[in-house]
Amino acid sequence: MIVGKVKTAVIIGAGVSGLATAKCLTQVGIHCTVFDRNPYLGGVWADGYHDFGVQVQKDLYEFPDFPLSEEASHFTPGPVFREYLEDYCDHFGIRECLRLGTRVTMIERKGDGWLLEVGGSESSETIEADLVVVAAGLYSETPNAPNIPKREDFGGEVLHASEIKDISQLKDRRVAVIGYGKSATDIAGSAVGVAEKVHLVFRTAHWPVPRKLLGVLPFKWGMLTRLVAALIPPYVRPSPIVRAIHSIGYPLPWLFWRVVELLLSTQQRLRTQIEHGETLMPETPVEFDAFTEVTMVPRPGLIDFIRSGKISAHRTGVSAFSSNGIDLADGDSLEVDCVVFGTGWKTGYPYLPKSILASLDDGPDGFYLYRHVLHPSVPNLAFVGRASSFMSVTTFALQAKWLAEVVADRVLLPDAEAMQSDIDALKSWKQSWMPEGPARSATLLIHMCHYHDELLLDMSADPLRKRGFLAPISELIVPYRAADFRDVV
Amino acid sequence: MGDFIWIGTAIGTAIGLLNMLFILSSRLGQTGLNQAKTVWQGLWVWALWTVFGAYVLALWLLGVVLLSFSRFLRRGTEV
Repeated sequence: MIVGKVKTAVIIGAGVSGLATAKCLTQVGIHCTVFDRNPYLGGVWADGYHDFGVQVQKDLYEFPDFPLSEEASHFTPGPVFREYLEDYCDHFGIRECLRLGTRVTMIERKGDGWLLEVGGSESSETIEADLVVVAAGLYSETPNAPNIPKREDFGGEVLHASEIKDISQLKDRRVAVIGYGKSATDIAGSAVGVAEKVHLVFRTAHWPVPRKLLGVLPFKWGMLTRLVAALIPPYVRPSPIVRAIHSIGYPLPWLFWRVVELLLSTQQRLRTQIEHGETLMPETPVEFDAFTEVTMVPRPGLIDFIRSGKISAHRTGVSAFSSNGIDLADGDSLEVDCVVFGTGWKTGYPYLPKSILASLDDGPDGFYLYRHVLHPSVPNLAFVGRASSFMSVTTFALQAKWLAEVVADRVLLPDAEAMQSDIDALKSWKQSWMPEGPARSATLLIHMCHYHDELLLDMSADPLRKRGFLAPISELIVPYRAADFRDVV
Repeated sequence: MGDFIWIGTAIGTAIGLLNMLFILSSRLGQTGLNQAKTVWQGLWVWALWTVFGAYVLALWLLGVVLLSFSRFLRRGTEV
């Protein structure tokens, strides 16, 4: 919720969401300062692991009003995307807002606005702002490394995936990669042919989505259309037709997802036998598994590496380190001299006082927000980028635009009670079916189109973005691209 | 076969009509929404439900059979 006239804003984070927010707020006359603890912009795209890159096609992952160049490859490599963010910054004239290499260490309430303590490596200062926008993403704070016993006994090296800047770090080593998400499988795949031996250890298998379904159709056509969005567990405010599809019509979505599972398991040969007779078949139905934090579009070749034994896959947990490797929960011991955690990042906002986190009702799911941006109990604090989507850049650009419209009084918010009731509905809806996780409050994924619809309606923009004579069919079966939102942001 | 197609088409037409009415009622009069686009969308939705009604009915029946079979098998495993 926004109180009083906003003239100045501090944005924490100079990644995709921070830059989009700076652009939109500047356009409505707000003086913005963007702080980032790193000495370069880009957030997660500034400095990733070896060969990191975008896992979805480029027309899904670009700013709607600033397309990637024609020459950019379909799956944008990380360094190219970082350059693109630099260009975005220059194109919209927001570079002068940036204060890189400066960390926000504390914020506290002052009147309707905020007092912030910010500092670089040598000095610190206090500044005031009417509005604080946290645009630090979901997973930017600390690497998540499971607490495994007897770490001190292990004579080898333990790394987080983010520390693998060059795959030659693993040259001629016996490596165990822990995890089954994007970074884990990327590192394991890259290590093949470089490392002496590669193990991939994971407890839970997830449905990997191939870049092309049946080797022909880009996955977005099979996963990211309104037709498919009508077949996933219904949104918090479903239309009557979707409600009917999931009650009396339930055999239809059930059949659809079983066919999807059959296609995915056949195409990717998920029944491949791995250690101890296990397979790569997930246990959770695909329509629910798609909402876990591990939504993976693996690079081509991963399953082939596993089938051929170039990656030795173990579907089990790690029970302890030993002097020369790790002991697995299934009784096996792996002799390795390097363990890489591809287990993601922890979520955290160390600069937010406990009193604010308590007001946000921070819990095991994280905290729930009105339109994933504002909370009625903490006025003039906004979050942009706290939503997981397959089109994150578009989602964050829409959030930033929505926030700017709210600040400019062109989008009117409901009263605090109505906002809280909306938040409560969102929370109980997610908790009723979505897999648990520390970021469940922020998970949208295939539901992103419904969330975009809400933001667009708030801004009096038409949620039906397709144009032309056949637009109604396109709305149903053609996936949205970032470009479809160009005239909104 | 002919009867099945007629029944499916009739059901599709009815659902399509309801779907179209919902689209019209939820969008017409809303600020910022293109009214012609709304009517066009509604008509297409009605037409698509009508054309594909029989196919949807067939898939629904197949789903009913397979879902029942799957639940029966699962119950057997749990016992």
